[in-house]
Amino acid sequence: MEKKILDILADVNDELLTYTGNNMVDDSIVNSFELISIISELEDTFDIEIDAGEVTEENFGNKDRIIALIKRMTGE
Amino acid sequence: MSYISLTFALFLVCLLLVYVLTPDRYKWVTLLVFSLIFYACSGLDKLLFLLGTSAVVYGVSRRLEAVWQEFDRVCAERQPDAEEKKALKETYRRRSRHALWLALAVCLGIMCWCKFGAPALGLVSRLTGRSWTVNIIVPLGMSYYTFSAVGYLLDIHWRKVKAERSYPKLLLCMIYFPHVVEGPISRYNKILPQFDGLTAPSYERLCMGAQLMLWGYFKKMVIADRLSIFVNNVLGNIEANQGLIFVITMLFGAFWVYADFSGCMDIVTGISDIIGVKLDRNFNHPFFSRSAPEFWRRWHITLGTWFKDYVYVPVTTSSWMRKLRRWAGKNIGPWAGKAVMTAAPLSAVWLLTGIWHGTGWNFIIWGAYWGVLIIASTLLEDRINAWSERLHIRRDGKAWALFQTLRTFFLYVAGLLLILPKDLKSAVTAIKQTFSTFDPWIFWDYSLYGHGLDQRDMCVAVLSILLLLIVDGMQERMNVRQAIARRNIVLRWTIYFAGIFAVLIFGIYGPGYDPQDFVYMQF
Repeated sequence: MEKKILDILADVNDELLTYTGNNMVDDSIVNSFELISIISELEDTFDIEIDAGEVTEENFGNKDRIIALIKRMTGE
Repeated sequence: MSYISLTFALFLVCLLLVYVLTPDRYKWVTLLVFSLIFYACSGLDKLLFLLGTSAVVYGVSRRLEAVWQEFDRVCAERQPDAEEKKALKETYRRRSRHALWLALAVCLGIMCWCKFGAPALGLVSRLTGRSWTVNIIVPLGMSYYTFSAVGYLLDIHWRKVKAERSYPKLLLCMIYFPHVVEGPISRYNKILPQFDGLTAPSYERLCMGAQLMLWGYFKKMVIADRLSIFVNNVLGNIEANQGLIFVITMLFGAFWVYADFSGCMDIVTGISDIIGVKLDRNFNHPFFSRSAPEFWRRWHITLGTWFKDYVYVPVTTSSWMRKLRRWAGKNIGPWAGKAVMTAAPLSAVWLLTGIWHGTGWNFIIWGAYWGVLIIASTLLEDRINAWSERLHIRRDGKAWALFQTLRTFFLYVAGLLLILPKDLKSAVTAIKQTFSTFDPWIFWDYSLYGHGLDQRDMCVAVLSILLLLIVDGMQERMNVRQAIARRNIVLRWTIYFAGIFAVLIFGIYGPGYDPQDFVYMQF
C-alpha cells in the first residue's frame, strides 16, 4: 500500500518523497489543485471517500501523514 | 471612525494608555470595550446587527460542540466496530449539519440581504411597476466578519477546531477593531488563543508596529488618495476622454487599489502588532507574481484561502463531484476527469469571488475572466511546457521571468477595465474609447495635468509608485522592516522622520478635503 501511495505522490511532485516539513501546501511543495489531484487519485486507488473535513494539515501535511490516514481509512 | 482621522488617532492613544495600565489577564476586556466603542461609532443599529449575528454564531458553535462531545461519549461507552462507528458518525454529522444550516442561513442570509437587497428590490420594482424601497442597514465590515464566522462554524462541524466557551471572547474575535473594517479574514482559532496571552507592548514592539503603520499611511495618503483623484476624474467623464489616457488610468488604478488595500492592511497589522495580536498576512507583493494563479495566492490572501478551504475543497471532495469526475474519466477520457475537476470548482470559486466584489454584471464578467484564465493556465500547463521546450525557450532565465511578471500585471490591469468604471455600460464605453485613437502626444502636451493632478502631484505620484515597487522588490529578497530596525539610531530615525514628513507634506488631507474611504471597506 505504501508503495502505491508514494507512486501517486511522486507522480504529482518528486519532492514530496523527500519533504520533511509538516505543511506541504504552505511550504509550496504542492498547490491546492495538486492536493485535490492527490486526493482523487487516493480515492480511486483505494476506493475510499475523503471528506472536506479530513483535508487538514494533520492528515495531508506530508507523506507520512497521508500514509497514516489511508491506513486508518482502509482499516489496515 | 476612519483609520485616517484625528478621532481615530485619539482613540488609539486612549486605548494604548488604558491597555498598558490594565492587568495582563484583563487586557482582552479593554480590547473588547474599545472595539465596541469603535464599532458603535458606525451606528448603534449596525452594532445591534453584529451582536445578533455573534449570539447566533456562539449558540450554534456550542451546539455543534455538544453534538460531537456526545458522539465521543457514545463511542467511548459502546466501543463500536469500524462499520458501526461510521454509521454513528453519519447520524451525528446529520445532527451537526442541521444546526450548521441554521447558522449559515442566518449569517449568509443577512449578508445576501445587505448586498443584494437593493438591486433585487430594484428588479422587483421594474417587473411589477410598483416602487419597492426599504432602508437597508449595512453593518460595518459585514462580509469580513460573516466569512470568518462561517469558516469558524464549518471548522467546528468538521471537528478541526473546538468551540470557544466564552461569548465575550468570541464577540471580541468578531468585532476586534483592527480586522473588522476590511479584514484580513481571520481564522478565529488563530486569534482566540492570543487573547489569553496579551502583554503590554515593549519598546521594540511599539517601534515595529508604528513603522508598519507609517508605511501604510504613506501608501494610503500619498499614493492611493492621490491616484484616486486622477482615476475618478477620468472615469467620471468617460465620454470626454479617449485613447492612451485610459491606459494610464488603468495603470494608476492598479496602483491605487493596491496601495489603498495593502496600505490599510499595513496600518491595521501594525496596530495589532503593537497590541500583541498577530493578524494573517493579506498581501505578498502580488505585482511580482509570474502567473495568474500565483497572483491570486499573493493578493487578498485571506479571501483566497477562505474560498479554497470552504468552497474549492468541499466542492471537489463532494460526492456528486466525485461521481461526475469518475463518470467523465470513464466515459470520455482521463483528460475529461481532470477538466471537470478543474473547471467546476474553480468556476464556483470565481463566480462567487466576482459577486463578492460587486453585484453588477461587470463584476460577474470580471470573475469569469479570472476563472477562465486560471482554469486555462491549469489545464494547459503541460502543453505550454511542451511548446516552450519545442521552441527552446529558456524558462529559467531572467528575461522569461520578467516577461511572465509583466504579462501577469497586464492581465490584472486589463481586468480592472471591467470593474473600475461604475457599471458594465461604462466599462464597454471605456474599452471602446481606449482603442478609438492613438495619442502618444499626451505625454508631452501637458494634457495629462488636466485631470485633478498638476505637474507636482503627477511627479509625486510617479516617484512614490517607483518607491513602492522598489520596497516591494527588496522585500522579495529580505525583511526590510528588520533591516531598518537593525540600523544605527541616526539612520533608523532619519528613515522614520523622512516617512513622517513625506506623509505630512505629500499626503492628501487638510481642511476641506475628506480622506477617501478605503476601497475594500464597501465589501
